[in-house]
Order: sequence, then structure tokens, then C-alpha cells
Amino acid sequence: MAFTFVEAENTSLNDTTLTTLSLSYPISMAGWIFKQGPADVGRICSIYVDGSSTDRLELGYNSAEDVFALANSTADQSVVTTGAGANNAWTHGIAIFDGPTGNITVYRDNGNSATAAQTQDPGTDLPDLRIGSRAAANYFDGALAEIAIWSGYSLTVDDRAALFRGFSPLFIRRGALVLYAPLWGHVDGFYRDMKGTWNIIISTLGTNGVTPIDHPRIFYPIPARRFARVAAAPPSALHTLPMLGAGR
Amino acid sequence: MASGDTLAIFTAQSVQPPSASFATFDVITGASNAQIPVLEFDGAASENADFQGVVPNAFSASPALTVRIGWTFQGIPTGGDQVRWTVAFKRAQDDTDDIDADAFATANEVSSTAPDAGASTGSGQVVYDEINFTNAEADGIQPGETFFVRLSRNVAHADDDFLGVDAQFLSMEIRQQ
Repeated sequence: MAFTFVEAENTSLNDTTLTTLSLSYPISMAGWIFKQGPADVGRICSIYVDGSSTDRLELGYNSAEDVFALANSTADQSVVTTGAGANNAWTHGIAIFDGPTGNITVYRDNGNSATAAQTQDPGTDLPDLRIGSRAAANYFDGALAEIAIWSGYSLTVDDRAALFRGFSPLFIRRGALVLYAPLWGHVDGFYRDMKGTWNIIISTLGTNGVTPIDHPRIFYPIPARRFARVAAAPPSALHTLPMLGAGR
Repeated sequence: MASGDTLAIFTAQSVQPPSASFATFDVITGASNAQIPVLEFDGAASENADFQGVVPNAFSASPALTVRIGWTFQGIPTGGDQVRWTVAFKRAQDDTDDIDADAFATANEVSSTAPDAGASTGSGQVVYDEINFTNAEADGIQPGETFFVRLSRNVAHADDDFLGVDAQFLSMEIRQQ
């Protein structure tokens, strides 16, 4: 099942503080969203400067079931997808921040996009991370999965289509992938950032009233199957875990 | 290894997409709600897919190997439509090769014909084709070494006349010849 977030219990995942982490524009965020709660505004993923109510880049889901991308250096600049998604169904969201000389673009389910010039620039020294909330506010209600951030890379049309078709972020420009949290299961140990940029922990684990939600259908990398002939034994397929950090 | 033994198998989910001109991910919806991941090789521009493996210790360099490609397609063939597949190897030899700098060896190619419209329902028909390599053509790969193999569709080749139709890669098997 996917990791479930309970707004009433302030569930979120956050990192243990990183004092130095510098990203670079363009910054892309992506994730699968299953919103089931009340009609409020929840954050899917937020990177920010600790202790600051400003200086943040976010991917979120609003009360109208729109995905939004938000930048803030002095005030919120929100770019919202067109149309409306649905509660209680998996929806895919992507936010791309080009930086102060470019745009903010947001997508819901590989379409419904909206673009605006990025007027709010919090910079790229954003060492803190939250999944499921914005700092200590705007808690998400539902399930999130396959959250990913790329630094210095703008997801292409093919990348966006692949992610929406259910291919893991591990297939997409691994050299620029700085966060990958598949969020398998609503228990400790199943929420790690497998890329290792952030050491995320559970800030508050909501437990009351959690409804299990199946993880979305995802295609994960499968390493090559190598065959070795062993005397008096059939060929065996040897599997290894996919490697992080390599690839395009 | 005995002739015909399998050395390696790669599927769409084994790919290491290159940084540009890469075959893109797609999913075919089959009967019974099956979801089949494929790599789409464009019908208008040549695209590539890279795979990485280790040569089995039992591999015999002479004779070398056969690469068997399984693929399908999105369009309806009009008769004799072909896709030109190219396969190239890159060896990673101890204390010799530099994978930062080394290029793939010269590719071997095959023109693979999609089933005629009269013989198939078109999209979704599976085609298998094979390309033989000597060990030298396979960049001299040796047992116990890492190797890389690049699959490409050469749409600029005169034989590739399945124009505008995406070829959908399913699998690559490398066999002992």
C-alpha cells in the first residue's frame, strides 16, 4: 500500500536538517497523488529554507482537485492546472521551475497544463524538505507515492509521458535525480529517500482512521538477467537491485 | 557454453536511456487488462536504447553470439514494411577501456519485416529477428567483464520504410552461437 497522510493528525515526512544543499534551476518535481480528505489545500512536496515562511518551491493539490506549483520568495506565486481531477483516484502531478528568467509550469495527468513567468525566486539553496505538508502547515489528506525531484533538469515531454504511464522516476535522468521516495507502505522504513539526498523521517505518523490505499501501478527498473550454466543444474537468473546514480 | 545457451536477457525495464535521442517509454494495454511496458523507437528519427550486463564466465568467444530482438509496432503494415535494427557492443576491459570515452564498436544490422496486413491484425503482432556477431564485431567482450549494448533503429537506412510508425521493443536475448 502507499504511504497515507492524515491531515487531522498532521502527518508528514521531513528531513533531518541539511545545512548545505544547493540545487540548480530548472527544478522538476513529480509524484502520484490520491486525495481523499476534506476540501482543503495540501502540499505534496515542499523544499524550503528552515525557519522561513517564505523561500520555498512546492508541488501541491488544492480544494478543486487541481495540481499547483508554488514559488515564494516574498509572496505566494501559484500556477494551477486547468480542469479538475478527482478525489479518491490516483492523479499524477508535475511542477517545473525554470528560475527567475523562465517559467513555472504545472501538469496534471500529463496534460491540463498551465504556465506563467516565474516572478518569485527563493533561490536554489533549499536544504529542507517536507512531503505531505508545507513546513508545519497545509497537511495533505490521502496517499502519496513515487515522489521525485530533479535538480538542473527540466522534464521533457517524453519524460512526463513516461511518468504518467507509470514508469518509475528511476528511469528518468538519474544523474539529476536528487530525491526519490517511492513511499511504499504506511510504516516506518518504507518511506526513505532512495537517492539519499535527504534523510527523511516521519514527523508525525497518523494512525487513526487510516484507510489502506494500494500503491499506484508502477514499472520499476529490472536489471539484465544473466545466465550462468552450472553443472547438473538448470540455468538460473541472477538478480541484482537497480543502481542509483547512473544513467541519463 | 553450448550453442544456443542464453547469455543475457534485456527487456524495456532493463534500459539505461542515453541522454539524447532515446527510445521512449510506453505501455501497451493487452487482453485481460495486461499492461505491457515497451520502448518506442520513432518512425521519423533514429533513437537508441542502452543496456548493461556482465559476460557469463562460460561464454565462448568463438563462435561468438547471436542477438535476438523481439518487437511489435503501432501501425498497420501495408506489405513488406521493414524496420532497420542496429546493435553495437562496448567492452569494458580491465585496465584498458575507459567507459567515459569509449564509443560503441561498429554496429551490425538487420532489416526486420513486419507481418503483412493480410497475415496479421497489424498493431501488436510480434516479430523476432536475429543478428550474428563474431567476437571482434562484439568489441571483443570477454567472460567476467562488464559490457554495454546499444539497440538503435536506423530510420535513415533505405530498408526502413515503415515510415512514421513506432517500433515497440519488447526484448533482447543474447545467445551463445
